[in-house]
Amino acid sequence: MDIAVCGAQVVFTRGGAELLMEQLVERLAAAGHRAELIRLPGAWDRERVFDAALAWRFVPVDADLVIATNFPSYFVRHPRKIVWLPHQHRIAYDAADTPWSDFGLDDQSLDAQRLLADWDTRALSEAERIFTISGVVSERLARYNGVASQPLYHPPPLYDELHPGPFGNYVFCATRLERNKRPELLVESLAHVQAPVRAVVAGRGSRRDNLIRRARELGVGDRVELPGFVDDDELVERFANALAVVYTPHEEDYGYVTLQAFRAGKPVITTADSGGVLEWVEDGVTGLVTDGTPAGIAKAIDRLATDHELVERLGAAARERVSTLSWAPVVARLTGA
Amino acid sequence: MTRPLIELLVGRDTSPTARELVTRVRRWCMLRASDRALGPVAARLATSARAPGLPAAMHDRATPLAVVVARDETVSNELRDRAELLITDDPARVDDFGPRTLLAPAYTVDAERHLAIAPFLRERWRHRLRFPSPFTVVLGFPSPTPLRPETEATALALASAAAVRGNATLVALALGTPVVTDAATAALLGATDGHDVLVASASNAAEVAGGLAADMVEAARLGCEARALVEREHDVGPVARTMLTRLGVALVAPDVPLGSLQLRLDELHTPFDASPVRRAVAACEALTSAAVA
Repeated sequence: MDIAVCGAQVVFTRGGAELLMEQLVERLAAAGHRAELIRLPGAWDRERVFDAALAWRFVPVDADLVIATNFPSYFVRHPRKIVWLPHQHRIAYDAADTPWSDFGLDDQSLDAQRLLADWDTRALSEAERIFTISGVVSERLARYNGVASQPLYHPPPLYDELHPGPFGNYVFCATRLERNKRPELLVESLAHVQAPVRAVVAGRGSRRDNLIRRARELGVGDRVELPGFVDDDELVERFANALAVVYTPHEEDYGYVTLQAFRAGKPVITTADSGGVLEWVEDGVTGLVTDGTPAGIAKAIDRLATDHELVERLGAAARERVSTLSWAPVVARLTGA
Repeated sequence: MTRPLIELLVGRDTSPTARELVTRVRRWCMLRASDRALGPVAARLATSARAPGLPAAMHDRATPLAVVVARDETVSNELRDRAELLITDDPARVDDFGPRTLLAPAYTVDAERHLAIAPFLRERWRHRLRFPSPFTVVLGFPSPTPLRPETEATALALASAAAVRGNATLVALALGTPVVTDAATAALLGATDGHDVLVASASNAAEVAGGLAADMVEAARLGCEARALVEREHDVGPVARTMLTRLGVALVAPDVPLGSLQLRLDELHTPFDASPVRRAVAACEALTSAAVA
């Protein structure tokens, strides 16, 4: 089949959604289809949020099948439209009123939210089938739009390369350094950690300078490493040699970091409000779920640093937990094979 | 661009269907009453077969004519032959009127006037207005705190769920309110228990609505289906569009110059004064001006 994968482009930004689209195209091609990625830039502020959605309505897509992914690519018109949703336009839904959203309780915001919810419901309902990347995203879609969907879990990038290694003396996180990922929590927790453990936070983003400043203020500057972007080989080794992974985003949709940590046999320390991460991290089984305070996260780090039997047991269970993830069933269900 | 002019022939016995139809037609056309001195009009719409201006209008064969026929009205052979469209909500009269019939829903609501509001957004409005949450509305069922009629639509728009029967039910459904109603109302509106509404007896409807208000996922699903039911079965909009098309009146959305753009906006049921419309018009303005020049 000729399959068009549609996705929104966030210019000058690269994250989980981009990886998902690229992987999907690769896997569709590997399954014998002709697959191409079609992207249109979007704007995310309240004033311009509808522009790209409307633009997608005019994009002529000549393909046997269209797989639309993130907002607003599912506004594309096609008789055989499948949606595989990484997330909605969250700042208009569950993340409204947060510091990173311009949707508040004023008239303009509420009007825009009403219209967006209505448009979303209509555009999604045109689809032959609706999948999401996680149970959390499906639950949001049901709660906010009354639309039913099925979660379709896929392996994270580097799934085949990631491997277990020795439990080292650092906790690791690879994430965009943005507010919704809350990298500050790890840095702040380090001030409470008793064990001789360092923190390595890989990735780029607007919060980098703030993290450096905060680490200095707390007197842990020498225990925090911010290597910036790391290539795939280094990423694999950073995971392999970590004591554990600390990943504490706000209401994450899926969270490749969790799955990559698990694949590397590392337990994940997270928080009770981390969303999709909690579909994988079971407290005391595959990781530790904290109250989200720096002190609580520090306590979890200390626990793993001082109990080798525990960290090994959680790491083994974590690796087992993701052992059945595969692209084959994902491709089969998306294409209706 | 100027919107088409429709002459309205109003009878005293205008039916609710005719009233809803007129309201919707006003979105696309200019309406003028029959007692005004008018120039050429694109079409005429009589809200009753007994409308006073109708006999005179029938003589002007150059202007298309549509007549809304109430259930108790008889239609003369002359009118049957003359009118381009006879609009009725009585399925039994379709055969009688023949191919000139346009069947309207027996119970209609203007879905464009009552926009769907999802449960999470109702919650945000309640928060802003300092309303209690969840908030359940009881209408048409026994209630210790009856609402004044003028507050009903607002209350339904804010409600987490509503126990409702009677006239307000269609408005509730159009607003996407999660509705609990009785079996008779559900049957009348073609709603299915568990799919579009929940059916309960008069004695426990309020209690069922209270339970529904606490279940946001089920409330969102029911609200969505309620709205879909209205758009499918009870919205007067499609009837108005069909009527104008069959009368040969070109639909022109206010200030939107590109037809395909209008089609795409209509597909998404976008109100004509919504911000995406204004932005799209502004974005296209230079292009369409150039095309005209």
